Amino acid sequence: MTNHEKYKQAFDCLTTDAEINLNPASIRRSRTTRVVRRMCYTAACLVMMFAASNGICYAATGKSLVHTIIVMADGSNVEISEDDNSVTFTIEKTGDLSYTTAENGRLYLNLNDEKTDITDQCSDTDYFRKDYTDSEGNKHVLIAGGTVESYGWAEYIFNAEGKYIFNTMNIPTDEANPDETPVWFAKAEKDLGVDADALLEQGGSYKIDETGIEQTETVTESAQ
Amino acid sequence: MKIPIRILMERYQNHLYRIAFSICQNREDAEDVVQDTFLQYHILKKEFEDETHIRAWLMRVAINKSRNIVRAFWRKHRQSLESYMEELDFPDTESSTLFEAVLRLPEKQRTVIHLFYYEDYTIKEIAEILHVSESNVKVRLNRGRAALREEIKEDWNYDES
Repeated sequence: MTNHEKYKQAFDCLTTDAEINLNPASIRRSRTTRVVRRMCYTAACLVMMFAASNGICYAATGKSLVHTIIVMADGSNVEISEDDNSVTFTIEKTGDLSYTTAENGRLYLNLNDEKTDITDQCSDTDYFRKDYTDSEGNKHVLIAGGTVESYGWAEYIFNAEGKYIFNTMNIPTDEANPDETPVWFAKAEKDLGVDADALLEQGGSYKIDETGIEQTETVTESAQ
Repeated sequence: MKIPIRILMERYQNHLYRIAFSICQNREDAEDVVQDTFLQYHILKKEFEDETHIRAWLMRVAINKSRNIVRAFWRKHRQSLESYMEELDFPDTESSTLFEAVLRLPEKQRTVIHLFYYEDYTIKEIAEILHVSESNVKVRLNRGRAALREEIKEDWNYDES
């Protein structure tokens, strides 16, 4: 048997009979700009003791649990809860989510009430970058790129040991090719070592980070 | 030209599922990719030269979507690969061994290997689908072959090209 035949025999067993849904709701979903940050509400379903607004604390449940709060560049809080089986990210959006704006033909980075003209550093193929370290030692990397007609931004967080934790972003998409990544964005991710290839090399689909904890998304009802 | 979506679904649903699965490595994500790929074709206002062009476009979109899914840190609970493999009906142990060996390859090599050996694309066609150079494809293909030979020994022949 040739290699082609062996390969086909091995993969022929992979089939799906999943129903393909082409209804208008699905079509609208496919046209949505990719926005990772979203409004969530946190619930007081776990008993927590907080040492500080940014801090690590442990739930009084008996299970091993790690709870971290990271303050994003725009002041929003991201809560990260980890137990033995899952990691949960919950974002409380406090500010207007737009690190970049376009005005009068110029591109600006808006941060801490400061407006910086970044037009000349940004293009279809290049990006602006700003790094800072928060009070907990987490490194934040803000990138913005594109043109006045089509621009986007992302914020990447690395912990004090330099390990990549997560990101939030708002990246423009081309309606004809919504999954094509803008060149400036692909370049930025590669420079930071958080591009798809680098992350894919870290492991399979159910082992996303080094500790093998599978990340999940949960939205819980507000206790407010 | 644009072929009716129902015909394309009939012809390529499993093909897209296989390439998506080879990247995502779980059933639910791969099914989502297939769904979204066909949806994208359905709403796209684009004419294609012929069916070969359509098929290559579907492959490229499915590959991009699969990579984006793996890259996103928001992920739902999924069936593990091990438990899914228990459901698959391999004709013999060599097939399941080869299947596992392929899934252990780095994604860049795995995608090229799959497009070459399952979809029968040439190196030139693979380069066009992936938007990389032909030399890049050859390197990934050769590395993938070498890794498979190393892993499964006599169950993988030496390729002449």
